[in-house]
Amino acid sequence: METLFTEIYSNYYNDVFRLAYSYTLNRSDAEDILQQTFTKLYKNINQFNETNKVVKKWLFRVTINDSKNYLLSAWKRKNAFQEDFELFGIKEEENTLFYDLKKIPKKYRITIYLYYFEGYKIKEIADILKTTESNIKQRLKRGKEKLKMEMESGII
Amino acid sequence: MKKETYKKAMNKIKLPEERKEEIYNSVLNKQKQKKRQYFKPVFITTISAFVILIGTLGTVYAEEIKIMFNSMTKVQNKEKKKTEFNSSAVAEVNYNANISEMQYDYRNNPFYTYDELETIFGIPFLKSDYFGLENLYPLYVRKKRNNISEVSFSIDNYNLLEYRKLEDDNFSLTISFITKYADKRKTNQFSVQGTHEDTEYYIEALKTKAYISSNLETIQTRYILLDYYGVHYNLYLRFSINKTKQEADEETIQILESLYL
Repeated sequence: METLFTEIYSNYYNDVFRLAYSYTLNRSDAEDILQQTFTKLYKNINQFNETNKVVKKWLFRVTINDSKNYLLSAWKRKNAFQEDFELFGIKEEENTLFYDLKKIPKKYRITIYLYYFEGYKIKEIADILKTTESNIKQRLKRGKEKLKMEMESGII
Repeated sequence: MKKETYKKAMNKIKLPEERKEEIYNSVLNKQKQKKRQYFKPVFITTISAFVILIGTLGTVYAEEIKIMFNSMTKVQNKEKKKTEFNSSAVAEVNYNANISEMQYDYRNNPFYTYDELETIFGIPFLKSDYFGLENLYPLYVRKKRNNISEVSFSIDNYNLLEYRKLEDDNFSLTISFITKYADKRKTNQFSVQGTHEDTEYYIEALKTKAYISSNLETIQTRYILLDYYGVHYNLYLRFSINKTKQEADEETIQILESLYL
């Protein structure tokens, strides 16, 4: 059991961290969520018998739920994500991306992340986020509009 | 902004290698610790039942049974549902305080001492040797028709600009108040989700109650709330991963008892 847990952790800890960071835009919060997610994995490890895409989707679903719950706490965490830029080696010209991302609603931010970074299809994103495909299409469209991203035409 | 720029930037978001190990070990150790704690009440239950069964009449080990029931009650109190705390504290302060409206900007906000804030607002605030008397920074200062309406300051026991390690204790004290000029006499609402345990603690030093919410899924984290003379205080305590739950609980009490006006 511990071997499988270790394998899954090694394969996906960064993906979970990045997803949590996309949601919270705060490194410390993302680390806390990472720990919570893998604690849940440990408790539910018997559901899985190998590390694969199914596990990754499960982890993402848990991460998103944990991120929502985390931020529902009225505890106002200091948004010191500027300190994260140095830690992650993000250059000044890339800084503005995170300021822009911060402005758009989290649900658009996460949808954009899952679609453009993780490469999930609309149907898969709808499954992860427990919503309809048409909702996902809407979120992508509105998210891009808010970000004014230049994308290849005809993607959606 | 191009898709490639986005992907390139997001690709840089990575958990540092040393954190990878720390969090991994923390998850495993916590689960192993929980298994040991689970067996303790089971062990006590079994022993107690055995004692009763072999008919040691009149020699019921009341203390062991009490421990067993206390432990079992605590386990049952681990809740997943949201806990809400509403504060309706309203402070009477110097409404014309000589301070500008501001929002949190950790790079550019000035720091204040307790003396300065108490002079500005005309009321005392809770302090503790765990935090010192300087380096309070504003989260927000809001006014309504030039009268102070909502204020929040915070002080930490660590440097916000420095990398926080899991071995360190990271504490924050946030001091907030609303006045009669706040738009709504809104309550400071606090809610905690995820598996957590809530307790009340009576602070002898202040003769008042505090609510403590302990998150059981992350590293030793405590959220503490109390109202004191119209001011609302939030304490966020994130203890070192090297500390046990008992050590964290004991130190939480020490911190609360160290508060003074």
